[in-house]
Amino acid sequence: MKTIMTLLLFVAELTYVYAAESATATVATKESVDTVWIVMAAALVFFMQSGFALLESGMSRAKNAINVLMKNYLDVCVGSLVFWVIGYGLLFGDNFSGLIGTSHFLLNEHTDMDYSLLLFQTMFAATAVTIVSGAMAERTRFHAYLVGAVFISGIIYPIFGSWVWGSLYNGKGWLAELGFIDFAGSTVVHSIGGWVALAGIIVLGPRLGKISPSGEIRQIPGHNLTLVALGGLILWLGWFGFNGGSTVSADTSIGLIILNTHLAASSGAVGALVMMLMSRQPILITNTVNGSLGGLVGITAGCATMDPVYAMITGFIAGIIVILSAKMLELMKLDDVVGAVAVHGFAGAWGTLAAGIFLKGNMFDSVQILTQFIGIAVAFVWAFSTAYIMYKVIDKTIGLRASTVDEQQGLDYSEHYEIGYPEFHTEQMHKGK
Amino acid sequence: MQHFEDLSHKKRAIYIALLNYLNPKQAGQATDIWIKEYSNKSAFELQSYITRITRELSVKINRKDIQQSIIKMLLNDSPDSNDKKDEHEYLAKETPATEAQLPHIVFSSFMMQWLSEVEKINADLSLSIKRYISNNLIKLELNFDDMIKIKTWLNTKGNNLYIKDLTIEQMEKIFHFCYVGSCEYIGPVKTDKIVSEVAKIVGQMPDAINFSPKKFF
Repeated sequence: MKTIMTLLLFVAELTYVYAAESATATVATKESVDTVWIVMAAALVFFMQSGFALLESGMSRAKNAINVLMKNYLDVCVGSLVFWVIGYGLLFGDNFSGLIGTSHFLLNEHTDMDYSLLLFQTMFAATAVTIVSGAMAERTRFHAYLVGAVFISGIIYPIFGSWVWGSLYNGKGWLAELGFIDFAGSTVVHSIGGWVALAGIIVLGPRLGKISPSGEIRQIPGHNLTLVALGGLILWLGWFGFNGGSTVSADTSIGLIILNTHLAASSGAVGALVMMLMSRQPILITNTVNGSLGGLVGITAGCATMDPVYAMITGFIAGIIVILSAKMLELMKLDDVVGAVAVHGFAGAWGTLAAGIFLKGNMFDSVQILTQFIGIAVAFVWAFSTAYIMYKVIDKTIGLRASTVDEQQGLDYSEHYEIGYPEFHTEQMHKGK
Repeated sequence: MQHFEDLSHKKRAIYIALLNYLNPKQAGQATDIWIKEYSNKSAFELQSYITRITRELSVKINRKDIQQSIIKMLLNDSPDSNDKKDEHEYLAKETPATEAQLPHIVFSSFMMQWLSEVEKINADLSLSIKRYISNNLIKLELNFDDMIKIKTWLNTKGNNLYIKDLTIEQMEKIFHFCYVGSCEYIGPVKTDKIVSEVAKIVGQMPDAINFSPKKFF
């Protein structure tokens, strides 16, 4: 009997040890898979930079193509460094006040998951900065632009982000406490970028000749619409990582999130198309691409919390909003080269509202909708006012606007001494400064 | 430089005076003779010159009248003659320009071609651009006479602008004023199109081989 008891005890102990080891192994495997997903999603979001670069340079004139590409390229470089130094800490660090993160600066000697999250979030910061470059293209001094990029990725974006997402370690952002929903950043990333761009184009003023002395608004078409379409499609692909990766874990919700993302992009383009037809505008590829981007921006806030049919509605309305708001900005004589304010600012605001309206299990809840309104308004006030002051200060100190001579020559020559399309220029025209 | 201005002025005066008695081709030939053989001689050689051209061109003209006409023109070159097409064709065939004159010739050809292209779209817009340039000339810190010369040049057609003290940098700035004015009044897209077309046309001029118009960009 004693022997049997001893044997049973031994088997029980073995089972316990095996179960414990198995649980540990499962957790480790889950963490590994999560890491793979986060890193892959980060790579997809990084690829969005190519999309932005192609889209923005394609919508600019040939003489400014290099300048646009340089801005996009350095947005990633400068934005990543600044975000590592200060941005990540401000956004995700211990946030006991609900207003600002206070730890995790210069992230070093931390856990593997911290590094994965930093990588993923760095790509988000770079995206917020890049949104601005397209709107301010063709007339902004390169160095002044970079100073702005540092401030956006180091201060404007992370501080607002901490109000919504600042609950990763300790504490919680005050907007998150209110119940504000922004899953992947319709407002935190896109509207913030859009409102900063709005401040930038107001301080800069329109491009030379964009508005005639009699007030007529002139179209200045981009030099390569093939790049625009390709850039739009690359952004679309990258968005699967942007929204899908925001789960920060490899779970089964990713399928719905990416499906919603795709449907919203498709319906955004259709919405833009319908709006162009209804307003008897020509069916432009630039507007169509912007419509789908508007759909993507719009669904970013609620992609994890709404059913596909509502994702489609959100995207469709976002497409319409993109066309209408672009027209409105034009009537206000604001020169947004790529339509970034319409796509990221206005469609982002709508998407954030839609996330509250179509919230699964709590649709049309007035309190939730009001909370969304507050978040949208706060984002506008914060981003627009800080960016406006920032660009005004830059303008008064180092000068934000390129000279008319530089605009005439094209910023490729005047800022970089390079030419994007040398076969069209049989001799080097620029003599330097 | 003064020599160039004098020579150009005398050549013009003689050609215009001869047009009253000779057809444009004969007037051109006669002026060529003056440039080659008489331009560096004293005014007393005028009679000899007239005798020679009547003989070489086999024309019967009153030598006294033509002499008086030439002297009158040399003393007072009439600006009204600017509108004569034949005169332009001949005067356009300037003597080979010196290196110092090339930028001025290319510059004025470029500007005139540019403004005439704008005029084809809308004459009022061309005037607005000229006004814009004139209003901005003050930024060049030119002396008063030169500024008046440029303003006059902008409002007359066909003559090359040659102002001794006008530097390439100042020409670049005038070019730039024209660009900005053009962007304002006809739009940046049309402006860039016109500039590239004019650059092609002016680039084919013999003078542009040694001084590319793109240097003003």
